[in-house]
Amino acid sequence: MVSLPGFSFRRWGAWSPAMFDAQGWQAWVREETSLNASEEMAPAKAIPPLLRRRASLPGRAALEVLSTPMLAYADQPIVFCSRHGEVGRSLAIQQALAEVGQVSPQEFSMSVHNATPGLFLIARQSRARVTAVASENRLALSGMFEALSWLADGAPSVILVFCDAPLPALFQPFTDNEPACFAFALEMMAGNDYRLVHGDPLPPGTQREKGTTSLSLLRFVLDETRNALSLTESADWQLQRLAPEADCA
Amino acid sequence: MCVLIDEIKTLIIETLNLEDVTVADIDSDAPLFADGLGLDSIDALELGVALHKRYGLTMSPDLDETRQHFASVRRVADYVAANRSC
Repeated sequence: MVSLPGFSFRRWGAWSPAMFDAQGWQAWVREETSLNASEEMAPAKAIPPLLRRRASLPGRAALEVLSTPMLAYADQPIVFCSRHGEVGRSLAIQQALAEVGQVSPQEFSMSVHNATPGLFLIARQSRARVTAVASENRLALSGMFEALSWLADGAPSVILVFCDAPLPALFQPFTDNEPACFAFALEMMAGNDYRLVHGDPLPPGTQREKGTTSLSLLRFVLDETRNALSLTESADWQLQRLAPEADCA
Repeated sequence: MCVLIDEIKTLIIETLNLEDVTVADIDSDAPLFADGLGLDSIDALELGVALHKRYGLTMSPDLDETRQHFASVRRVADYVAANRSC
């Protein structure tokens, strides 16, 4: 069994169309409501309009959660995680190249995976460090590995941000799709609330997660009744919630 | 010329996704870049592509000359009126 240093999540923020506050997300955790697949753009009003206009649908959602007062962003390193990233732009660029032979410089400049955190840091005039991660169904695990690396490197805390949106129709038949546009951010620091474990048997009653796991991570963190989350289809990696230590008498 | 100026303002707003900006908000004689409308070098490239698609214009590789043509909406309109092929 491999066990990595423990950690905690402190502040968090999340956005999806028609999900306005923490109560809404708690209702989603209890499965009383589901995410809305509309193409509504996140407001991201804290980002100057000249920068905000460059963000895509999932990018705007990420800007919204990074700039929410709930997160109180203070120039921590950012681990930006997105399964599909700017695939909508990449497809539009390729179609434009095939059809008219000319691509949009603006679309091209924003098609890289780290474009969204770049916009956020330009808006804040921050030189904070960013890691951008893309992974299929191990995204939550890969993001937490990266964040643990920053913590091991001495960062007091790290912002882990996840965002994605439904795929362009052309790609939808080929893979699991995201249910809606969403973004969420978690402030992660050394602590004793969670740990990543490899090779432990899953506790009885723990469901194996299929497909994308970033929303599964948010659901798990917000649902304090659960004590383990499988992070891979083979369930070899899991995130465990640790029982609070008893106070010494 | 007024019609062309408004057409170019609309092209700028649509091409560059200028949220909450209307044709009336753009001063025809104000600088497009930096201090004026606040556009940047990527916008200049984007606008070049849009002008090529809409009016068949090809920008000169001479930077100073191109800078003159992009100084304001009125300058862009003058350049389009004199050089358009469609």
